[in-house]
Amino acid sequence: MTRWERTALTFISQTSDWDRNLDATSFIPFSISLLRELFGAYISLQLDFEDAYTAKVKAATPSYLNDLILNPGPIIALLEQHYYKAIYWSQISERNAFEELFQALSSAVILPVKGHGVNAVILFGWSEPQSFDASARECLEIIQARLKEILQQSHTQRIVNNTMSRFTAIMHAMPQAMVFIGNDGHSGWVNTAAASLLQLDRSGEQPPHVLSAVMGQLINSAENKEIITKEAMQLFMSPANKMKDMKWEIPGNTLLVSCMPVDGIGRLWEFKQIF
Amino acid sequence: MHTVKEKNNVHIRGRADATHTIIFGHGFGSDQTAFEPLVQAFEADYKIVLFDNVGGGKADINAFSPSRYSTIQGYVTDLGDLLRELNLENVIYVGHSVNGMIGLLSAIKYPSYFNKLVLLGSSPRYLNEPETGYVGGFNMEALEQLYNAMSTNYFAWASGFAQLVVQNEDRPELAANFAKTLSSIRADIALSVAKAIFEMDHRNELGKSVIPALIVQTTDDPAVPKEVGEYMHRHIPNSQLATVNTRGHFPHVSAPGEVISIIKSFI
Repeated sequence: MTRWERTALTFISQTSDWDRNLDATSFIPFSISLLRELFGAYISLQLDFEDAYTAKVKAATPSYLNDLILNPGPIIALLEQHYYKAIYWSQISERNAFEELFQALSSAVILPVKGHGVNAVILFGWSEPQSFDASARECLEIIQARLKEILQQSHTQRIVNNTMSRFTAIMHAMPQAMVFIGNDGHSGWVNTAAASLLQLDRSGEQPPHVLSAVMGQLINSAENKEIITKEAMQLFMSPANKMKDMKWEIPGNTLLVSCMPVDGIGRLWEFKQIF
Repeated sequence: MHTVKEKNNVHIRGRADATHTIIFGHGFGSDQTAFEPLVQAFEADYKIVLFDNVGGGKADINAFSPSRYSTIQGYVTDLGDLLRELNLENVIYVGHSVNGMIGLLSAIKYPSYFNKLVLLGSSPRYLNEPETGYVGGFNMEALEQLYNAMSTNYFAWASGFAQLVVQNEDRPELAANFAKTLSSIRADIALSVAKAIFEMDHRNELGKSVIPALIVQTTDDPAVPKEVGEYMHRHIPNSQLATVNTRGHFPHVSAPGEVISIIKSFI
């Protein structure tokens, strides 16, 4: 096994649990630091393209390079010229797009990481000349693919988490009590107002049998429970599977109750207090 | 993409064939016109380069990027671009306030261009650091109040801030001129740049400069206490410290004659 093959295998093994890690911001510095060590490189850093005017150095070794600003134009031109593939410089030419970073260095590798919420290049530089043979290039391309894969996963997870947080916050902020009961028999969810109305100890995920039980108790406490039961029968038999503004006369608390199907996955109950 | 000349409203004056070039870099809220008396004093012997920082003066407002200028490193890159585009050498850099630090960081990054540095009312860090005893002149609470005042009513803040930092109450036109250039900056840009400046910390860089430096202070600068000048003098190799007999943060505006004289002696 060559040095480069060992490097690729070590990198994949050391990053095997990152697919489950949601924090891409710490993944890149971790990867850069690990790879610098494996490569025996003198400098390593991430150059983030933050906007059309800003390429900012991050996660750098040596650390004094952090926060330097480079002009993105010449760098992007270079990346486009190479179709965003890895660039290998066995000998760094005197004039190059990274000359402010690659001072007194002999060789460098530039790994573009584009897409999935990240637009950056990862750079490694060596003081001693390096040769990038087929084995080295294969190793670096495996690493580049691995970086992309984990960043894609992290990015997707981050989007899902952000979306979930946002919609959960919206649902909890609603004054109406909202109860979701899934068709699968396993899932149920209530917002804060519903947890309070149904006297549950917490909002959020709740087993459907618990929700059925507390809703049953609420119906039993109603002064018009016969009417409610009849309307509920109509609801379950109706092809539309929906009912709007049923009146539940709970002592001291009249509710307007609606029920609607949710995209074939369950039912959403809405309770509005009318006084 | 604009050239640096367009982006930074660069003006070149003085002797085109001079061996040395003086670049004047203005501080926050000011612009290149603040150096006019100094330019007139040196233009017979030196090539003079004047420019406006992006976000201030008549620099290209469209070139302002909150990201690029979230620290002063964006301005250091701009100065590097200017040095290269104008193909300058033997540069005597006169930087006021934040531009003094921009000049110093640029001299560390691109030493071959520089001959001398003159730092007028400059500071590597404006925040005090009680744990080390460093006196920068401001605490975080004061800065939060300043940001809040800037956000609430920028024009009123600009007028009050100008009087506070310019001082020289017997010559109200000095504060009025600064208030005018300060007020002309877009409020959101001013706030963003103020944060980048007031929260920077470049103390660790001071010792890396190899260019002879003259640190110029006034007798009473509300933005840069005398301890800061002494700190810089202790930490910048091959530096001199001079005090100009005037008050306020703008020695080149309130006492241009004395500033010209000490710069001439230094260069």
